[in-house]
Amino acid sequence: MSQSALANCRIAGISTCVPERIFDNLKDATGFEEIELKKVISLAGVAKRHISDGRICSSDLCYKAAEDLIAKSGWEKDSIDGLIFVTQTPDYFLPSTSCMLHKRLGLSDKCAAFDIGLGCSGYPYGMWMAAMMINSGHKRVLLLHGETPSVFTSPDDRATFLLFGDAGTATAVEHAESETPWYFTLQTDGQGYADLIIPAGGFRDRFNADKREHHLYMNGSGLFNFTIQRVPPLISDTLEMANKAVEDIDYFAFHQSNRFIMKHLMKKCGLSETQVPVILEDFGNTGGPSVALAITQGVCKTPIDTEVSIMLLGYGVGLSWSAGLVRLDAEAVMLHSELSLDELDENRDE
Amino acid sequence: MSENTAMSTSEAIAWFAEIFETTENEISSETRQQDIEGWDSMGVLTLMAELDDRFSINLDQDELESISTINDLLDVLRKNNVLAE
Repeated sequence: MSQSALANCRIAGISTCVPERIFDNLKDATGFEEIELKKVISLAGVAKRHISDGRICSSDLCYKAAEDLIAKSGWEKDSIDGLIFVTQTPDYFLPSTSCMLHKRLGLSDKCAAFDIGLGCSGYPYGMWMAAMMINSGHKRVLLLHGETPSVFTSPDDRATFLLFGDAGTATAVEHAESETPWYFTLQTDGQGYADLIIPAGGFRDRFNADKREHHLYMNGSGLFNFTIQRVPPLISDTLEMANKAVEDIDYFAFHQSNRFIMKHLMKKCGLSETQVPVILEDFGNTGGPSVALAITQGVCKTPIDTEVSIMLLGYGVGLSWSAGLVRLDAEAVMLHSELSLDELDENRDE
Repeated sequence: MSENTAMSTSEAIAWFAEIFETTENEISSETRQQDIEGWDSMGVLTLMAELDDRFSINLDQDELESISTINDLLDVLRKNNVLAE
């Protein structure tokens, strides 16, 4: 079993950022019957999505989230000794986007920086990596997780076009003496690698002339089966490792895949609505960063006044699934912002 | 959670009608997928969730592709010993 318990970590803050532009599924979608739109909105739970218009990259959203977080948390930039960027929508294949972000954020050269290529399961994986770094001697790690899935969906694909929004997140993880560890379960089943895939554009098929091959393909029923078979044991195995029961956990921050699947999982796992923030209506499925967004826009929408336990849950592309049972104290900085195209032009280093 | 009680054929047809947002008068065991408006991709997801919820039945991709009529769905119940005949 791929499980681990890591102590002495604290979340100093979480900052999320979405593009300013809103796509209203009911008003802005063309080529769909109104009845179809209403059905999708009701089933998937996605009414609006913040989209990047193809110009804003996940790195831009993460940059803004990170700058805001660093300023508000009072971290000296020189004190950050680790930068992790989790994404499947990098600026370039080469160099790692984390190196660009390292420059853009003006971090010290005494700082490790690397990308992790995971999607929907990326946030618990990133937190695990950050906690591993803290436990191996790093003091302050900035975990950035951003995706722009609205860019890789095809307007002709009725299964995916209305679902996805874009988001960037920054999470500040620091060393702090603590006896309560964070618990992680990280799993993989590569048999389902083709269930969620962009077939072309990588080095196996770089220049495919068929544009459709550069868009996302999703096997909806395959993913549904994967989710309902894998997520319930993921939750119970993580609880068992921590010697906890469902009712001991304040919040379950799910990857916001779609409301129908989330409701089914909640029922199957015996979770109450108050334990599971659902933010799909205003943001859509933003991939792995949706877990952090569920914290800033769900768990902490009303500021918390006491420490809470949160199980972070990611599942999807890979196929890969992950859980992290962490704690969040009331002093942690919580931020949310929007990025406009004007602001992008002002602060981007072209 | 799961109600593992077997259902009769008429109960099953009424259940499928509810899942596909139609009435039991509109469908019979012979009705084909293309003749039921609500048996679209979203209807399939609802069906999968209901089968899991009620009988812990999970249909894999091959099974899903082999289903094209209400009778095929009844066969799924039959195979899983939850259709009382």
